[in-house]
Amino acid sequence: MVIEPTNSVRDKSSVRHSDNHNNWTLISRLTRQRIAERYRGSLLGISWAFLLPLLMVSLLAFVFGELLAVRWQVGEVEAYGAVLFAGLVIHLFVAECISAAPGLVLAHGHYVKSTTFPLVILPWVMVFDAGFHLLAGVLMLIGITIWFGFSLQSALFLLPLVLLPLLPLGLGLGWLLGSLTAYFRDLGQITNLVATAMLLLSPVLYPLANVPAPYRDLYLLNPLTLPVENLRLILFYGRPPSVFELLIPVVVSSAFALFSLWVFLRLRRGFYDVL
Amino acid sequence: MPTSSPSSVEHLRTGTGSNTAAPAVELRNLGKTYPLFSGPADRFKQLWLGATDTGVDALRGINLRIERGQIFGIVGKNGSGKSTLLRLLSGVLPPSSGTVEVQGRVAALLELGAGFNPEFSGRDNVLITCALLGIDDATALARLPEIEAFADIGAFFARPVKTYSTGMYARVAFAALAVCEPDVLILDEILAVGDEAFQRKCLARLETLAAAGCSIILVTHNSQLVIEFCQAAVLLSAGQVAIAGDPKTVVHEYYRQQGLVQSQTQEQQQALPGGGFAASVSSAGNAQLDATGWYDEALQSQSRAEYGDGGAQITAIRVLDEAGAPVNVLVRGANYRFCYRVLTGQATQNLEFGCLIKNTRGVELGGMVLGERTELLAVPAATGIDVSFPFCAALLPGSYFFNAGVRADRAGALEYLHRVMDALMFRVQEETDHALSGIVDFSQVEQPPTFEVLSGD
Repeated sequence: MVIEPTNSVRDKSSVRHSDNHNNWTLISRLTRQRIAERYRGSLLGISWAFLLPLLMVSLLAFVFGELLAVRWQVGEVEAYGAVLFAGLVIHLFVAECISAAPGLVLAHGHYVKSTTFPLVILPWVMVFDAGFHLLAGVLMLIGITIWFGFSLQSALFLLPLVLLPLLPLGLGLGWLLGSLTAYFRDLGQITNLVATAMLLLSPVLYPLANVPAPYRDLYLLNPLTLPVENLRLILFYGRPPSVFELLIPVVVSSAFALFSLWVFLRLRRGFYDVL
Repeated sequence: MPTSSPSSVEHLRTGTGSNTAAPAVELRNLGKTYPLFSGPADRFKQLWLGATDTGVDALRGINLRIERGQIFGIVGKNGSGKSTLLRLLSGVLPPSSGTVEVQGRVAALLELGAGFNPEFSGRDNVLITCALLGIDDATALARLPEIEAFADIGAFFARPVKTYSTGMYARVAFAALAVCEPDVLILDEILAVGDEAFQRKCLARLETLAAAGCSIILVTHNSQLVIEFCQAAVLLSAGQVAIAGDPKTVVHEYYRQQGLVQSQTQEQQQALPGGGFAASVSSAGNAQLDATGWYDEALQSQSRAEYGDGGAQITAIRVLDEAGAPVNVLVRGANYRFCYRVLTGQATQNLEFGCLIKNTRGVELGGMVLGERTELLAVPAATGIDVSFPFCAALLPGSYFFNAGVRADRAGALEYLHRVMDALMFRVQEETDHALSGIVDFSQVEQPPTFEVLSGD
């Protein structure tokens, strides 16, 4: 299911090597090594994948829930920590992609100069790496949900579909930011700000209902908004989102991914010259 | 929109063994122009608005055919387009014009330190390389022990590549590619960094690969390697094919290019007083049987090549027997003298004379250098110097070549005033005794070989 750049007629240099690579072997190999690399030499190892989101949500729950007294009730239950965590796991995935994407091509200059490495697969590796941590987060989220006294509903079967738009979103970020940053290094500087803005301007830390009406519709432009709302719906309310709410993020993210891939393939021809 | 370039590259994946008549690599009218741009942002604009026509021509009109199982050498000065050609061959760069057709799987080792992720261990990088070559995980893991054994760097194999020496890097990189058995293997000066034992191991491996049908393309500044090892070669000059074909011819042309252009030397030769020095060699007359050899008019070097800065001229190159008669068919074990005359074109200091015997494959068998550099302090212009190197023809029957050269210390660096390669061809006479083998006759000692049967206890 790799979107094969090699079918592009524009860049024929890739055509010749299409048979050279089994891209899935490479993607799986690189993903495993990247995850292993992340925890190599650390004492707690893979536990960090669970520990870090937990510490993060504790911090945010203390600041916003305790100090700033943000209330977030699901029915009669006050569940700020759990609801926050649902938003946070999705935010962490997107933030991870946004901060890693600009370096994708730049960091692989050694491949560009002397191998026929298919750079186009790098966003897949990034997304699977971030997806691994998303999965760890979701497992914990389910645990926390139960701990907060919610019972799991059959709507939970929609979980894969709710999370699905994150895949093309991450890929698109990888292709777009990865290729653009090769030409405009400045992009790498502002991505952290963008990630923070996406956190603050989304219903992760506070309910959408708290947002004044004129701005509320604008929040739908944030790619985090619908997936986060959908996830809360199936977890805490046991209600499936509408077909519209489910499919819009998938369609929009996919369109974004295709556009980004198109840009990447166009810009790829100059990588050798600018790295 | 950028105009679509007339270039196309095709990699036809054919199963090994099928369609063996097709060359492994075929280049047709290949050209590469590097775009000119002021910065990354400018290049970005070019990609969307269309590139300007200006650029740096790195390669033009290259036509080459490399057969399956052929070992092919690429030589040329720095900046002649060697690396660009390799990058086009390996697919790192798209061509600007012409076509590259490669049959099968290409593996390239273009740059030390590149292609490996410095943070990952040698083992991990090898597995990535295998995946890049299209080898599935199970096969890659199965071949890992063989790769590790070939690289032979011990515990370093499991350590990050950033801790490697260049030699270790080359070992691992080469081992990975060689064991993965590509259809076309491209190497750029990589073998130069390994130690000699490893180089020999690599060369042996390359020969095995070639015998199995893998085409090997190498760029090297080691001309001897090209002559000994390659079946065909090409000399690139200013982005074009200067000469292609027999490695020896190609290398000689390369030597000539590196030195002064030949016509210039000839002009200077005429300007020399007494430049018409008659070579007495050719007047030696008919072939005659002699205990110490004879002169065969037909035996002439066909591959003579020369270069130099014109500071001196070597003439009258000849081999004389002990009686002083010119010979070129020698008898094994007899003593001779290799002689030539040097005419200085200008006042020169610190001269050094040399000669070198090679076999027909270009293997350098032995050389002699005459003169501590302080010995001949100052020689005025237009002086003749006769040089003589007595030698024993401790060689087995076959054809051999003499190089002759005169060098001078120019500002601390030894430079050739004149060098003649394959200046003279000679033969060591056939004989019926087949007790010796190889190239060099080591039996030039008083005692014959002996054996002794030891009693049972």
